[in-house]
Amino acid sequence: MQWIIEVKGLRFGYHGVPVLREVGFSIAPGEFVGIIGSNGAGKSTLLKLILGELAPHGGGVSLFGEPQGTFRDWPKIGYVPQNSAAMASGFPANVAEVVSANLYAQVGPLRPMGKRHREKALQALDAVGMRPFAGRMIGALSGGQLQRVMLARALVSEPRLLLLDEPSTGVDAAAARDLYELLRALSGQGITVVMVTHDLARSVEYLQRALCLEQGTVVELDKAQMHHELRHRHTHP
Amino acid sequence: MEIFHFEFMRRAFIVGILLSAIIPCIGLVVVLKRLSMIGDALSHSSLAGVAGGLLMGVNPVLGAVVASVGAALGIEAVRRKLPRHAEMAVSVVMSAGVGLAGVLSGRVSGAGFNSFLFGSIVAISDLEMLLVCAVSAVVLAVSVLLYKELFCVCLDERLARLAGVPVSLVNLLFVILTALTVSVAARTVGALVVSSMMVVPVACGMQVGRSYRDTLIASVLFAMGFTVTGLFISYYAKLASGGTIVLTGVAALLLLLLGKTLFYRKAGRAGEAG
Repeated sequence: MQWIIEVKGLRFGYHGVPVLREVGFSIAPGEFVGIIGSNGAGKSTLLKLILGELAPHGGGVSLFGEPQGTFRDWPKIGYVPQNSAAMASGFPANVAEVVSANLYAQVGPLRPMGKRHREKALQALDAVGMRPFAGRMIGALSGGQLQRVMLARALVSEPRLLLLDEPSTGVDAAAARDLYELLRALSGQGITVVMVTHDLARSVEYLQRALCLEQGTVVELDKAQMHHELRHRHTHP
Repeated sequence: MEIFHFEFMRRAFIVGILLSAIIPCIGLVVVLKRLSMIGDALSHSSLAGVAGGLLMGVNPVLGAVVASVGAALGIEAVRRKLPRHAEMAVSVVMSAGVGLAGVLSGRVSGAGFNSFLFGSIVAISDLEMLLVCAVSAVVLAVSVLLYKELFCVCLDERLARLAGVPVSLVNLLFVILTALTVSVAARTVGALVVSSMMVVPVACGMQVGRSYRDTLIASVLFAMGFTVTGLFISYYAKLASGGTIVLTGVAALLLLLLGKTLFYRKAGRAGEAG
């Protein structure tokens, strides 16, 4: 089987302080996986290493069977960043413009967006229930609505892997549940979903497994172990 | 109309309208990338080029173009080395530009150099007119061709890179365009007010735009309106044209902000009553 993400012996640190030591795991097509861990455990660092924004000090990452360093098929990967609200605040663009911007690779350089591309953006908004908001300014959306728009933006390029960085930050409980439902449905359609989250309590019902970063290494947790981890957190804060 | 009987005024309107079409195209990106100081840095650097040109007997606008493009490349180089400190790169280049302009201007005659500080749109030479037309054509063409690339880079450079946009190349092209625009605009509206011309129409456009495209179009229309109105006022009231254009823009922005506040207050009251 070809892994969607394969991480082997990954090492990384900042200014000589190790953050990740010999991290290894594999993620299969269609899985819905959470990356959890305490603050500073290296969750976002791991995501940056997967996206090639940081260079590993040792080991490596493969995406769709190809070493990260030579991987170029970025439209296969949809990315939803943390804190989209800061990006959206005061930015004069409407929802449809933000979503269609991720069709860059399909439109091609120096070419204008066509009707077909605009229709595709509307379909992506449909998939997350945000089509009626297509003409709304992004700065006027609530946290939950904005996360859905950013998800539509990631989905518009028809990715096979979705990476999300703390998608429930700034989102109320009901909106977070809706978002996790949607992510589970996408994973059911064969899209691999990997989500960095501190919100294990609300997402545990939806995740198939979790990768827990602890002291620079990764511990894999199945459903029962995730529930145990939650109980442990409640009794050992 | 009497104002159009004069060749220099007809020329001023043509140059003014061309510049007001391109300055907001640059200004919108500058504002959204939170690099509003870049206009100041490049215009101050262009002054060093003006002084250098006057000293060497070269057309000062060409000197301004060379100095401004050099400064823009310097800013981009520092920005790439220290991506988290883009504003620092802008400040360093501005300081160097002001310093060099100060040193060189002491060795040239006052009148020629001073006309670049506040601009002289009514004293445009044939070469300068040609330069404005050429730069306007290039900036407009590149702005149209790179429309979606610039939008992606403004929204989020990280997401743009993942979407496949060649971010470094787009940034490099953009700073060169900015430098060209600033250096030719410095001659007309003045080096000290060119960054206001970049920011004020965009600030107005952002008050009325309901999308990125609308905001860009509104910013260009505002800039054209300010330029035409400013030129009329400056001609009949015998005021400096560059300053009058900018003050017209600032007055319009204040009126827009006031009007928007009153509108929302009224809408709020109507909502409460309903």
